[in-house]
Amino acid sequence: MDRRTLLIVLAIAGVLGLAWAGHTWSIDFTVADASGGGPAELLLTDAQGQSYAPPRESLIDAGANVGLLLLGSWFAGVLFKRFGLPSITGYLCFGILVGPSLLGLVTTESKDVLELVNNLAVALIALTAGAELKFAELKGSLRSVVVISIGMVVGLGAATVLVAPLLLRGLDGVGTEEGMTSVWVIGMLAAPIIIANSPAVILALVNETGIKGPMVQTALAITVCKDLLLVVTFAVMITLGASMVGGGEAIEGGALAASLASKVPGSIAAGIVVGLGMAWYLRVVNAHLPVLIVCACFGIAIVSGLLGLEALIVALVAGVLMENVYSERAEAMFTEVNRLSLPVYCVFFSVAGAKLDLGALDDVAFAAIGFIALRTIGVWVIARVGTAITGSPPGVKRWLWTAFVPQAGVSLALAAIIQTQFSDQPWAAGFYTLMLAVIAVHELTGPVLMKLGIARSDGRDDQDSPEDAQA
Amino acid sequence: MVVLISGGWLAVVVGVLLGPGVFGLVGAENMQEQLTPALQAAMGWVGLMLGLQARREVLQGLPRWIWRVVSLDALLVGLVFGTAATLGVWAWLDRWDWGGVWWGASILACASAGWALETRSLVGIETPAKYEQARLAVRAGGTLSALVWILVFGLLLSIATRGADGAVSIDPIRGGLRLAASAGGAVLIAVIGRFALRIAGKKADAQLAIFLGMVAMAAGFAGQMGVPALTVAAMTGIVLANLSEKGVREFERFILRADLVIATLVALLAGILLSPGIGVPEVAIGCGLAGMRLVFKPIVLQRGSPAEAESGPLSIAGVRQSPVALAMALSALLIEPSSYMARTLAVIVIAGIVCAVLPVVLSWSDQRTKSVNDVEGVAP
Repeated sequence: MDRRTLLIVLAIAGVLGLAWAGHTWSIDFTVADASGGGPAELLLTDAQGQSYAPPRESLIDAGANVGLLLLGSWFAGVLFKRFGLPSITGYLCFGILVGPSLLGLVTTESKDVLELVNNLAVALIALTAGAELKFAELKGSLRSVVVISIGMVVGLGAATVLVAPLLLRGLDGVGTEEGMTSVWVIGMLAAPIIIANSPAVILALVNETGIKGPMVQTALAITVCKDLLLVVTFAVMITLGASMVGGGEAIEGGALAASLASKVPGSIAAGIVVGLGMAWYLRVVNAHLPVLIVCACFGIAIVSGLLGLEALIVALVAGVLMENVYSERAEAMFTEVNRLSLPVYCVFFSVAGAKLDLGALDDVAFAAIGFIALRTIGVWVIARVGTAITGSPPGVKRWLWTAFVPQAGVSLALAAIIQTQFSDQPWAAGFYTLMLAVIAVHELTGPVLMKLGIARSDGRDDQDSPEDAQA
Repeated sequence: MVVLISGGWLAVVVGVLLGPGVFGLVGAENMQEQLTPALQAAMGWVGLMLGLQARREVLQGLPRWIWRVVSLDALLVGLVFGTAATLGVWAWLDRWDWGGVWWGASILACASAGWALETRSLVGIETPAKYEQARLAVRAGGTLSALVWILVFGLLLSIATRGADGAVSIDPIRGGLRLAASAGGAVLIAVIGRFALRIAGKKADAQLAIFLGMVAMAAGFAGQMGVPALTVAAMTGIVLANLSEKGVREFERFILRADLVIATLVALLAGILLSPGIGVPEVAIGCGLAGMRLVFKPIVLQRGSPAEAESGPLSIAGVRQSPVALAMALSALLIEPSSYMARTLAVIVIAGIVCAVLPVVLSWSDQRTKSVNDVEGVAP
């Protein structure tokens, strides 16, 4: 181990030590409930005799946790890069290290506060993904985008539903009460998660390697197209599943149609409004662009939640509009977006890592291995067949599948929604753990595989971006 | 006359409109959840930015009389404002509560330190070239004074510690230990940050990640220790600025680009968080502090500065309250999110607004009596 590597390890240890010290010595304002139950919130009295609630521990810890995730994961990324691995694998591993499964420095409670940062990250990543879709450049690969996107959603979705009964036998609470019904429902619910891949990983690797060739362009376009289809598929699956097992909110067919009819077009319309708003700002004000970006992303996340829209689609559409209609004005804005992206990736991927529960993996190992194998083979077959049918370049044909292996935030979010929606089902906890196990493996191995794929397909097999070389 | 009232106060007004007192877009019941992360980030950012100004080479290059200005201001704050704030808070609380008086008086006194760094608005278009030294007194003296009092502020607030049962007690040993631990944390963050910056080189995205990480870590660690985030972040900045010159200047320039945005955010947060139930006592204390500034701050600048800087409109620049005062009150509010702290913040806002208006009125009357020659001396 050379001197710099040792210093990076020491820096990570220093960040962890400081976080541990803060966590250990922090003033705890919670007191035991008088009835002997759990902790109750303490009300204090100020100097003027008015009562107030002291800051919650999770709020006090939030700042330190964000700092820990930013600095620690950044160092971890640098360390991994020195060993030829993608930085985002470093961010994920650091998240796992500090998460509840291992060191427990980022607790379940503080993760709620970190969701705020995470929502910002999702919107920013979607905005960037939208900006990467340049219609002029995509004209040549439009056919492969459509074919592979539909192939992934239909083919991989159907395979998941069909194979689920075989893989889910040993899962806690499956098939015990409702016969085979729950097995089919779980298969249906697992399908969108298995289909989803991570646009963030693609963008982060493009950022890191500086390579943006036909494979990356096609992969990003397919991912975005797939995300749009996924929103609809997921809404259908979750509604059908709820009506079949009686969990969550069982929605009538008409209501489902109405919900879908408003969600997707509504999100697209909102995205257009956001895009037009940003274009207006750039024409009239054109200053403090980081503020515009942060406010727009927070605005998208908050307003989408309030109106029942899909934040991912809203930001995607806004990004597409800016890049393809107002590209001249948007250039400076996207330069700032790129500058903001690294801290966002650090937090986003380390939070994704912290969400993984390693302790529960043993119980679901068999099913997890089955789903991982199914997904990897399915992605490979569909990508190879799709690129062959559409006559893609040889490099894309051979390596495109690697771009669909990585999973992260979108998949985790879908799994969390299902767990919340079906929390009254006996299989809900086991299903969530199973999906986390599948996502974890793809989270950790996917970026390594994709980095290899990008290097082999789109360009040079280098470790450092041009910026690194310059530095 | 060009009336330039610092834009920050308009942001305070916008904040008041958004807050629970008027339109209630940010509700009182979940204000803590909504605003704590933004507050921590803003306090960390302000502290780090100010701390980075304290580079040894810069401090050594300042004329000796700047230190005279800072010392005179320290004496004024410690003795005159400290005593007045203690008496004012005692009367305000209507009873002797050690913790309450200590906290309130410390915040109000420390918030009286220094002055706003704005010099343009006092002469309409631009400061006359012959007032260059006065301008240096305002800018360097104001920055240094604020920095010194941010550290004192941290010390004073740490001494009165709030235990897990909520009772405030004056405990120099426990408070000192917490402050020492925070200082240790600040040194560690700075050393780690310095190393990270060396690896990052000139990459702006990496610099941003490191800077945000340092800000969040310093402010968060301060919160965990019960010490003002502003103080710990300032300590981190001071250590970082003095570890080595290479690379830090670039980093400093990079983060200073956001100073206007952060100042606006601080003012907006102050407007949202200040207590809507402001009564006569708050207005009286606020106006009292503003009056004291009007009387004493010009004396500090005139007595501390060399003869050339004594006269002219900039001699009243010291009247205007430093924006750091708002950051101090917000930092205290992060530790104790109580109605008392929100009222203390309101007092500082009132004093600040009165102080912002006074120099404009005074410089206007000063300009009316100015000779034509003075006007011809306006710098381009």
